[in-house]
Amino acid sequence: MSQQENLRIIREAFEAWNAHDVDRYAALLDEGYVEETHTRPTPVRGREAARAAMQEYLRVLPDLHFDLDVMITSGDQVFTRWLVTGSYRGESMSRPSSGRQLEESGCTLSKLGEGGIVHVWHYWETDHILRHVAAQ
Amino acid sequence: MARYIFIVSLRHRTLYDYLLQRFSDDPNAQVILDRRRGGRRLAEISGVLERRRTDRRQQPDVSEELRRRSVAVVTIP
Repeated sequence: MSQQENLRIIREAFEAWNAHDVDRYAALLDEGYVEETHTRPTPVRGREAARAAMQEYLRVLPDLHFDLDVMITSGDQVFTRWLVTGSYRGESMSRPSSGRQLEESGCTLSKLGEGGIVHVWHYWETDHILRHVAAQ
Repeated sequence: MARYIFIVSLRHRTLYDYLLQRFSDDPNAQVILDRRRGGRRLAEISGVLERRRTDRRQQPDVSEELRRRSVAVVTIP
Protein backbone atom coordinates (compact mmCIF):
# COMPACT_ATOMS: atom_id res chain seq x y z
CA MET A 1 0.00 0.00 0.00
CA SER A 2 1.11 3.55 -0.59
CA GLN A 3 2.06 5.82 2.26
CA GLN A 4 -0.98 7.97 1.48
CA GLU A 5 -3.19 4.91 1.79
CA ASN A 6 -1.53 4.04 5.10
CA LEU A 7 -2.26 7.54 6.36
CA ARG A 8 -5.86 7.27 5.23
CA ILE A 9 -6.34 3.97 7.07
CA ILE A 10 -4.87 5.25 10.32
CA ARG A 11 -6.93 8.43 10.09
CA GLU A 12 -10.02 6.27 9.58
CA ALA A 13 -9.04 4.11 12.56
CA PHE A 14 -9.01 7.16 14.84
CA GLU A 15 -12.27 8.36 13.29
CA ALA A 16 -13.77 4.98 14.18
CA TRP A 17 -12.54 5.39 17.77
CA ASN A 18 -14.06 8.88 17.91
CA ALA A 19 -17.33 7.55 16.48
CA HIS A 20 -17.16 4.71 19.03
CA ASP A 21 -17.69 2.38 16.08
CA VAL A 22 -16.11 -0.90 17.11
CA ASP A 23 -17.06 -2.73 13.90
CA ARG A 24 -15.57 -0.03 11.68
CA TYR A 25 -12.34 -0.16 13.66
CA ALA A 26 -12.14 -3.95 13.64
CA ALA A 27 -12.65 -4.00 9.86
CA LEU A 28 -9.40 -2.07 9.43
CA LEU A 29 -7.35 -4.68 11.27
CA ASP A 30 -5.30 -7.48 9.76
CA GLU A 31 -6.15 -11.00 10.89
CA GLY A 32 -2.82 -11.19 12.69
CA TYR A 33 -3.31 -7.88 14.46
CA VAL A 34 -1.25 -7.23 17.60
CA GLU A 35 -1.68 -4.25 19.94
CA GLU A 36 0.81 -3.38 22.66
CA THR A 37 1.45 -0.70 25.22
CA HIS A 38 4.60 -0.18 27.23
CA THR A 39 2.86 -0.70 30.55
CA ARG A 40 1.04 -3.96 29.89
CA PRO A 41 2.98 -7.20 29.55
CA THR A 42 0.31 -9.02 27.54
CA PRO A 43 -0.48 -7.80 24.03
CA VAL A 44 -3.93 -7.81 22.49
CA ARG A 45 -3.94 -10.35 19.65
CA GLY A 46 -6.52 -10.62 16.88
CA ARG A 47 -9.60 -8.71 15.81
CA GLU A 48 -11.93 -10.09 18.45
CA ALA A 49 -9.57 -9.26 21.29
CA ALA A 50 -9.10 -5.77 19.83
CA ARG A 51 -12.85 -5.34 19.66
CA ALA A 52 -13.18 -6.37 23.31
CA ALA A 53 -10.37 -4.02 24.38
CA MET A 54 -11.98 -1.09 22.58
CA GLN A 55 -15.34 -1.84 24.15
CA GLU A 56 -13.71 -1.84 27.58
CA TYR A 57 -12.15 1.57 26.99
CA LEU A 58 -15.50 2.92 25.83
CA ARG A 59 -17.27 1.45 28.84
CA VAL A 60 -14.90 3.22 31.21
CA LEU A 61 -14.76 6.41 29.10
CA PRO A 62 -18.04 6.66 27.15
CA ASP A 63 -17.11 10.03 25.62
CA LEU A 64 -13.53 9.10 24.75
CA HIS A 65 -12.14 11.33 22.00
CA PHE A 66 -8.79 11.57 20.26
CA ASP A 67 -7.48 14.82 18.80
CA LEU A 68 -4.64 14.15 16.38
CA ASP A 69 -1.96 16.79 16.09
CA VAL A 70 0.89 15.05 14.25
CA MET A 71 0.79 12.27 11.64
CA ILE A 72 3.96 11.07 9.97
CA THR A 73 4.20 8.22 7.49
CA SER A 74 7.44 6.49 6.65
CA GLY A 75 7.60 3.19 4.81
CA ASP A 76 4.94 0.87 6.19
CA GLN A 77 4.68 2.75 9.48
CA VAL A 78 2.55 5.67 10.62
CA PHE A 79 3.39 7.72 13.69
CA THR A 80 0.47 9.60 15.27
CA ARG A 81 0.62 11.96 18.23
CA TRP A 82 -2.64 12.62 20.02
CA LEU A 83 -4.44 14.15 22.94
CA VAL A 84 -7.22 12.03 24.41
CA THR A 85 -10.10 13.41 26.45
CA GLY A 86 -13.05 11.84 28.18
CA SER A 87 -14.80 11.46 31.50
CA TYR A 88 -14.64 8.38 33.64
CA ARG A 89 -18.03 6.75 33.94
CA GLY A 90 -17.22 3.10 34.54
CA GLU A 91 -18.11 1.55 37.86
CA SER A 92 -16.55 -1.31 39.71
CA MET A 93 -16.61 -2.88 43.15
CA SER A 94 -13.41 -1.08 44.09
CA ARG A 95 -13.88 2.29 42.41
CA PRO A 96 -17.16 4.15 41.99
CA SER A 97 -18.04 6.14 38.92
CA SER A 98 -16.42 9.52 39.30
CA GLY A 99 -17.20 11.59 36.21
CA ARG A 100 -13.66 12.87 36.55
CA GLN A 101 -12.21 14.36 33.37
CA LEU A 102 -9.36 12.72 31.56
CA GLU A 103 -6.94 14.69 29.43
CA GLU A 104 -3.86 12.78 28.49
CA SER A 105 -1.42 12.79 25.64
CA GLY A 106 0.58 10.12 23.92
CA CYS A 107 1.35 8.62 20.55
CA THR A 108 0.80 5.50 18.49
CA LEU A 109 3.11 3.79 16.06
CA SER A 110 1.20 1.66 13.57
CA LYS A 111 2.53 -0.87 11.07
CA LEU A 112 0.41 -1.68 8.04
CA GLY A 113 0.29 -4.51 5.56
CA GLU A 114 -1.92 -5.65 2.71
CA GLY A 115 -4.57 -6.82 5.17
CA GLY A 116 -4.73 -3.50 7.02
CA ILE A 117 -3.30 -2.57 10.39
CA VAL A 118 -0.90 -5.30 11.47
CA HIS A 119 0.63 -3.95 14.66
CA VAL A 120 0.10 -0.93 16.87
CA TRP A 121 2.08 0.27 19.86
CA HIS A 122 0.48 2.91 22.07
CA TYR A 123 2.55 5.14 24.28
CA TRP A 124 0.66 6.91 27.06
CA GLU A 125 2.61 9.70 28.68
CA THR A 126 1.32 8.48 32.02
CA ASP A 127 -0.25 5.11 32.80
CA HIS A 128 -3.23 6.67 34.56
CA ILE A 129 -5.87 5.59 32.06
CA LEU A 130 -4.43 2.10 31.81
CA ARG A 131 -4.55 1.67 35.58
CA HIS A 132 -8.11 2.93 35.59
CA VAL A 133 -9.25 0.57 32.82
CA ALA A 134 -7.44 -2.34 34.47
CA ALA A 135 -9.21 -1.61 37.76
CA GLN A 136 -12.67 -2.07 36.27
CA MET B 1 19.41 13.28 5.34
CA ALA B 2 16.42 12.25 7.41
CA ARG B 3 13.07 13.78 6.47
CA TYR B 4 11.74 13.48 9.98
CA ILE B 5 13.50 14.01 13.27
CA PHE B 6 11.80 12.63 16.36
CA ILE B 7 13.10 14.42 19.43
CA VAL B 8 12.12 12.53 22.57
CA SER B 9 12.07 14.06 26.03
CA LEU B 10 14.58 12.58 28.47
CA ARG B 11 11.61 11.81 30.74
CA HIS B 12 10.30 9.30 28.18
CA ARG B 13 13.20 6.94 27.64
CA THR B 14 10.89 4.00 26.87
CA LEU B 15 9.42 5.87 23.94
CA TYR B 16 12.89 6.78 22.70
CA ASP B 17 14.07 3.16 22.83
CA TYR B 18 11.01 1.97 20.93
CA LEU B 19 11.13 4.60 18.20
CA LEU B 20 14.87 4.09 17.82
CA GLN B 21 14.32 0.37 17.33
CA ARG B 22 11.45 0.78 14.89
CA PHE B 23 13.10 3.45 12.76
CA SER B 24 16.65 2.07 12.88
CA ASP B 25 16.54 0.95 9.23
CA ASP B 26 14.61 3.93 7.94
CA PRO B 27 16.78 6.53 6.21
CA ASN B 28 13.88 8.99 6.31
CA ALA B 29 13.71 9.11 10.07
CA GLN B 30 16.13 10.01 12.82
CA VAL B 31 15.38 9.56 16.52
CA ILE B 32 17.11 11.74 19.10
CA LEU B 33 16.93 11.71 22.87
CA ASP B 34 16.95 15.26 24.20
CA ARG B 35 19.88 15.01 26.60
CA ARG B 36 20.72 18.68 26.42
CA ARG B 37 21.46 20.70 29.45
CA GLY B 38 21.93 24.03 27.76
CA GLY B 39 20.01 23.71 24.52
CA ARG B 40 22.96 22.77 22.35
CA ARG B 41 21.29 19.85 20.57
CA LEU B 42 18.17 21.78 19.68
CA ALA B 43 20.27 24.70 18.57
CA GLU B 44 21.95 22.31 16.10
CA ILE B 45 18.56 21.12 14.85
CA SER B 46 17.30 24.68 14.53
CA GLY B 47 20.37 25.37 12.44
CA VAL B 48 19.46 22.53 10.09
CA LEU B 49 15.94 23.86 9.74
CA GLU B 50 17.05 27.40 9.27
CA ARG B 51 18.98 26.44 6.21
CA ARG B 52 15.89 24.81 4.73
CA ARG B 53 13.21 27.33 5.46
CA THR B 54 13.08 30.97 4.79
CA ASP B 55 10.22 31.84 7.09
CA ARG B 56 11.45 31.76 10.68
CA ARG B 57 7.87 32.09 11.90
CA GLN B 58 7.28 28.50 10.74
CA GLN B 59 9.98 27.09 13.03
CA PRO B 60 8.52 24.77 15.63
CA ASP B 61 9.19 25.69 19.21
CA VAL B 62 10.71 22.34 20.06
CA SER B 63 11.72 23.31 23.58
CA GLU B 64 8.17 24.31 24.42
CA GLU B 65 6.76 21.12 22.87
CA LEU B 66 9.13 18.96 24.88
CA ARG B 67 8.10 20.68 28.07
CA ARG B 68 4.51 19.65 27.40
CA ARG B 69 4.82 16.45 25.39
CA SER B 70 6.90 13.29 25.22
CA VAL B 71 8.07 13.83 21.66
CA ALA B 72 8.44 16.62 19.16
CA VAL B 73 8.63 15.95 15.45
CA VAL B 74 10.58 18.14 13.09
CA THR B 75 9.84 17.71 9.39
CA ILE B 76 12.54 18.64 6.92
CA PRO B 77 11.08 19.61 3.56
